[in-house]
Amino acid sequence: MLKRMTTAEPRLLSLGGCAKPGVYEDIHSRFSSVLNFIMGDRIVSLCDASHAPGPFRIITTGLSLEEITAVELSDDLLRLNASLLPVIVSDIYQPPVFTEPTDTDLLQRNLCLSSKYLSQHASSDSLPVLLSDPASAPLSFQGQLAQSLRTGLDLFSLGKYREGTNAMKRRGMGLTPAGDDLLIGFLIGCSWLEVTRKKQLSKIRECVYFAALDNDLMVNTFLYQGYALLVDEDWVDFLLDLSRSEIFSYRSMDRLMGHGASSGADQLLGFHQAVKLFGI
Amino acid sequence: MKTIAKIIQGKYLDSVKLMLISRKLREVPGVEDAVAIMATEENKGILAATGMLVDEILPAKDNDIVLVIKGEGDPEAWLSLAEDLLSGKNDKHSGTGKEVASASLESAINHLEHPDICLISVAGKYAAAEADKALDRGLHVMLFSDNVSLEAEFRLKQKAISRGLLMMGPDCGTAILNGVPLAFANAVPRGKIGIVSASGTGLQEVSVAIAHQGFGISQAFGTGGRDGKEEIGGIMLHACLDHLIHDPETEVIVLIAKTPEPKVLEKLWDQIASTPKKVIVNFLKPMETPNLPNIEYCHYLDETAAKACLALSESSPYPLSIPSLSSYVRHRMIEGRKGAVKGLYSGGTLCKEAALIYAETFGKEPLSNLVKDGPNRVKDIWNTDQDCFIDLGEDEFTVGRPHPMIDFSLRAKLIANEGKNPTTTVILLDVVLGWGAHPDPAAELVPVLKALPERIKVVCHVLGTDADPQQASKQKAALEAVGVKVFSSNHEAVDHALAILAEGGEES
Amino acid sequence: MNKIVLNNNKPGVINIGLEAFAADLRAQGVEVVNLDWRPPLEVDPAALTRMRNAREDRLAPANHEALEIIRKGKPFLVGMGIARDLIPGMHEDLILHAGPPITWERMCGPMRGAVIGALIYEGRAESPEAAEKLAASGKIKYAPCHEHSSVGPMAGIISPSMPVFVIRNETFGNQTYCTQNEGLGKVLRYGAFAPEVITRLKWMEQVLYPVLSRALAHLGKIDLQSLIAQALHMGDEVHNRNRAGTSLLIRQLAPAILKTMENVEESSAVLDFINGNDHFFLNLSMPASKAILDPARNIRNCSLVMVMARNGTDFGIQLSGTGDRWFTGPALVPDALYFPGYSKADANPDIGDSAITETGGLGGFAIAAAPAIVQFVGGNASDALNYTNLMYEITYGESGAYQIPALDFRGTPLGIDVTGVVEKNIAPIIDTGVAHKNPGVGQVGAGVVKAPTEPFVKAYEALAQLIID
Repeated sequence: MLKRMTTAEPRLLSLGGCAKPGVYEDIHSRFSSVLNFIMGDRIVSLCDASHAPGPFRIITTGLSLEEITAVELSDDLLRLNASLLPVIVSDIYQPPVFTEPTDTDLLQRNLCLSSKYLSQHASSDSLPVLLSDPASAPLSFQGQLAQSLRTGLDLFSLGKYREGTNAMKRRGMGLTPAGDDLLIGFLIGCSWLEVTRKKQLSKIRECVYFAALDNDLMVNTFLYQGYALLVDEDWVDFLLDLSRSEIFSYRSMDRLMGHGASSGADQLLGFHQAVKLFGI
Repeated sequence: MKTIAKIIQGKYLDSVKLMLISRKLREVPGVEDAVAIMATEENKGILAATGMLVDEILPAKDNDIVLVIKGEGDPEAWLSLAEDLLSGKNDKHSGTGKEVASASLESAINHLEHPDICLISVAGKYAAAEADKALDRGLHVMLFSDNVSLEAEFRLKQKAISRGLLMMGPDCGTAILNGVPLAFANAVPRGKIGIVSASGTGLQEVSVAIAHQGFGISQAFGTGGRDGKEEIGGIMLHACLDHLIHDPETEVIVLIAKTPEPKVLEKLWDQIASTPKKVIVNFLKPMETPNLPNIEYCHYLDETAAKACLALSESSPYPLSIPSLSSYVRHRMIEGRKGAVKGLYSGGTLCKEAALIYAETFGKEPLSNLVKDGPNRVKDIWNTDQDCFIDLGEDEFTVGRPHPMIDFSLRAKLIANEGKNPTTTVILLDVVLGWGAHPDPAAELVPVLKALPERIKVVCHVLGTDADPQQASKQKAALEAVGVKVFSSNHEAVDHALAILAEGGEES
Repeated sequence: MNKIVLNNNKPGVINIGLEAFAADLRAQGVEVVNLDWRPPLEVDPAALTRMRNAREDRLAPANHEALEIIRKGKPFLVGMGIARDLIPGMHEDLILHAGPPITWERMCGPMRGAVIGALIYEGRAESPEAAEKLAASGKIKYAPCHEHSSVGPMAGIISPSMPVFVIRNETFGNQTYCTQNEGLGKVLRYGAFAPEVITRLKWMEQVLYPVLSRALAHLGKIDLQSLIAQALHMGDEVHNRNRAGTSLLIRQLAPAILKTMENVEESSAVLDFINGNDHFFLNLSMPASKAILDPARNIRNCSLVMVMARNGTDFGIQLSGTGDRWFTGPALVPDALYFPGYSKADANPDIGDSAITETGGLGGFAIAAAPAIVQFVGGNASDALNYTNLMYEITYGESGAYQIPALDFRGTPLGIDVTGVVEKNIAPIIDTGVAHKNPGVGQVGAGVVKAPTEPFVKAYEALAQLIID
């Protein structure tokens, strides 16, 4: 009963640069390691240290999230119920500016390795596995889902981005439905290609983004992150790995694929679809 | 094909949990598809395409989570499983009670709707004080702890009886009250036979044998092993017997004990004489009893059960099948007999019964640890070439080690050791099932039994019912699969083992 | 012969011992409660018998009477003054300290440092070395604050020139005293005696005290019970967390300070001082607790605890039924949560009179009202409820005035009964700060700690002796 914590007091590990000062009291959803607040039309997530830093995330340690009911953010102070945590500039998270890779052969090679790793290691419930198997029982939920997604991807390859997006969005298992995760990954792919490979994809990106938006604030926030390439640290690590790693380590992919039930794998699939479609 | 759907909610219900629930449901035989999804328009469209869009889902909103299951079978059962999975009821004992702990006896009493009995198993030196407190508060006591002094036992039993309370023990490991097995006891049906026993495994053996013959137990009281001594004066033996004599739910009474001391014995005979109810008495050895019309005496546990059932069926107005007493091998002489039998027991009374049967069969006592000294006291259980019966529940083996009914490591070692002994031809075991005992004794024994040489025959008495958590028939099957001969009666098992011995190592 | 009486229902079982038995019963749908059993304390069996037999006829009426007296108490802050003028028995060579009686030789580091600081403050010594010599000389007398109607946090040193608050229990007319809280860090009560400490003490005597004194005179009096009750509704437990209490206090004082202002700088400094010290209210909650307990002292056969106090070496208690006797045992080094860089090895044994708040149904006993502090000391909100709920097991009754919102406004556990502590082996919990063992370093941790049981066993056995009559 008389416990002793080894991490002493509550600490702020990272404050997302997109989290605006103010009082957050409207709770969107609560999980054991994440508390999601509504900030206008976006979600700001208060997370424990098991989550990667991100522009819309506040990462803390030494706190029991269960008891938090409100967050107050000012320029130099974060107030969580009774705890006051000072905010210093180095705590603030902004994703880096991505630059053109110097070695495109390396990039190409890493992309291939990554795609292969994804198809080999994604879990059986995820889209990479589902979509690679043409024989998934048509009359099951997953089977129908697979059909819809294939249709959507076919429409993409025909240049019909709005229709394609509509065929894929808001479908699938998970609190962020699998089709939405695919679109999020696709947007990350588009915006990354634009920035690092100078592809002209802004119109396509806009079209997919606005077609994908719906009334789920959490999904909308993720879509925005993909559209604007304001990604979380784990995606940053993966993207940097692709461009720079002499020996692609897969560690960043493992971290992404550990997300949710299949969220990470589904997003990676979307990313690779974008790369396949537009090339580097 | 049926489809059932439900809007679900839960604390911290995240995607991983939803996926796991879907997966688990899909594993249920007959289920064709099961998904836990957000009820978006698009997902509803997919459900429609697969014929899973049932009415329950229509009112669900975009951000509702809905569980849909399609298949052949019982949809209510699927939903019930889903509920369990959602609330995380997946541990070994998924009971209906919620776990309550209290810091004091008073608040514990306040937490119960019916505070009836206190089950005490703390160390001996504190146990008497706890029993005292419980009796003061009007609770019956089952004192599992041992190492309580005779004086304390007497004082507690006197206090108990003056308040109409039970004080079962010390060293009482088995009781069944109002159909509920307490501590080490078996799941047996409720019925008309009442038991008072100074022996735990004796109570278990008899109650299970009664269950196997299709009858049931009204109450089964444990008195602790010393109740029949003069210092205690049989307080609980008398009180429990008296209760059963006056209990309308009890028609036949069974009394099991080590022979009580003379004054206690006298009073017991008087009590039995005062009632028309049949009383089956077993003092664990042959003896003469007074010539009373309602007494049946026997010194075998299975016979005790059989006679109790017989007495009940005789008094029943309906014709019931009469349980037959198996015929036993008697007085086989040991001429040219090869090999030795080793009895490795966890139940003390069962071991004693085995030794008794041996003595009656062969006309002499076996080596054992049942006697403290003398020529029949085994010197070294790891190195004996003669017939030997060991009670592994004795103090010498349980200091610093869990009881052999819970922990099989010592027994497994002894069995392996016998495997290396060229003179051993028969190993005799008891496997006591029921609440409190090891969840899967067969799994513990099978590896070491499999490794035994061909020359050794293993005979095992599995004590339990199919209603016990371990399921007796499952245990039996697992043991038989490795060549063990299994019996549900100790007597039969011992007889069979001795028969093998007398035939010179061949099975009869 | 007496008949055994068995009810017909499925038996409800209380399990004491092997948890597997309870689990098995639960799996069968039987109502079962597991007793969180701990072995009883080693107590003279004769004492156990005597106390058990006396429970109904002797102890209960006495405890009932005592609890009523405590519940009726109404503590008010009625004024201020200088220790030498107000504290009964105070004289020039007397220094009061926290906890049970102790000699200079046995005093711990922080307390010695505080004594040295006090002697310098009083002008009795020019340097720490001279002060130490004087302290050890035999000329200076030491006595527990409690024996002079006072209380002091941590080292709890009160010397003649120090200003004190006067708290009066208006129901019974008795008074208690306490100094003004200095703040955190390098302060006298943690054993610091550097020049800045002395300077601050002088400022408190020459500025803080007059300003507050005038403000109080203007207000007449401040109802401390009301402030404490409100503070409990606002997340304080008024031992380790006093922020709400301090805020409520300053709200009452500020207008009065303005109205009786003689000098803007001084009044401003006073308000800043109180504002910057979250624990300012502690030096009021402590004497307020003592004030309601004192009238219940010296009731024959009463087994309720009147004082729990530590001097950094010993932990001492007093029972109502045993008069002024102290029962002591070694003060324990707390198993607390230590600030980064510190550990149990740095800690001083438990010290301070602040356990008087627990004795009065506040502090650790009211921690269910202060989940934030539990977080701070390494627990979670349900731990807070569990601590308070456990304390109901050892108190005779509940407070009327102090209620806990999270427990449906149930009154806090009040009236620690030594029989409960000893017979159930449940020690009172104290929500306390931990001092560094070296004088002048300050607080190194905080935690919810258990009182040692030895003093309670001694007190229990002593009371048992008295009850034969």
